[in-house]
Amino acid sequence: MLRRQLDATPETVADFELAGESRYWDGCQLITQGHGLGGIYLLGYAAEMILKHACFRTDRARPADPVAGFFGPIRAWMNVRYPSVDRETYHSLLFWTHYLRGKRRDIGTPLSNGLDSELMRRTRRLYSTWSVDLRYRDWTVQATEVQLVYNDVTWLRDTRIRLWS
Amino acid sequence: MPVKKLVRSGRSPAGQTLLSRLVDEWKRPAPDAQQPIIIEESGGQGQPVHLYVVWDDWAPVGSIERSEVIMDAYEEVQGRGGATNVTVAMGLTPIEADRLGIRYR
Repeated sequence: MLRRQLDATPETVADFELAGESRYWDGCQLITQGHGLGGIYLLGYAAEMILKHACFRTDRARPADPVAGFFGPIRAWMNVRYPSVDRETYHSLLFWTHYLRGKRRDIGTPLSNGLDSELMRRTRRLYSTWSVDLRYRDWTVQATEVQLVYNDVTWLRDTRIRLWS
Repeated sequence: MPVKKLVRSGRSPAGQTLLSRLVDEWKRPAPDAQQPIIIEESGGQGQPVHLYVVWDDWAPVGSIERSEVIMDAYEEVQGRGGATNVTVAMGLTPIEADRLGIRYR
């Protein structure tokens, strides 16, 4: 049973990376089959995983490390540096983007100017479309919106290693 | 009519109780207490700090809430500034700690 498997094995940093990659392709498949909102939901989820993984790696996490221990310190750091950014129960793309940029500056390895501004531009746009709460909806979405989400998440995926290395 | 704002912490009752007990233990360690076992691991000044708290009483609390409880307790003891160096805060039962190879005995 999957639930028993979940309880027995805590999620690791590598799990987040692999889950992000799988859901990216699942999302692409849904989009090509005409399921726009389902596709957007999974692509946004993939973006969340890519950002979380980059944040954990920035905090020197190794692939086999359990992820749970990173959440409390990240929340505490964000409460000090960006108190007005809502976590949205750790699903906010803006929360993770601000942490990534701020923490990299803090430890002396800031993102390059071009990458930093592009990351901010793309995740702001994604944030304006994607929310974890989309899972509760059954809407028809416009093709232009699907295209924008696909472009932004694909950019994030293509850039993912540069976000933490 | 006056409007009062209540801030919800989002913490479970069990988490709230463990937070109070952890703060007490951190501030005034009871010499005869077996648990919680608090481990602070650091490479030195300015290096990231890893916190592990091994405690049977974590069992009913989820792993992310445990991490938040540890950080809230640490902030109460060290102040907010002192907590920004912490990158890992893990709450583990002894069985979980053994499984992860955390040396605490």
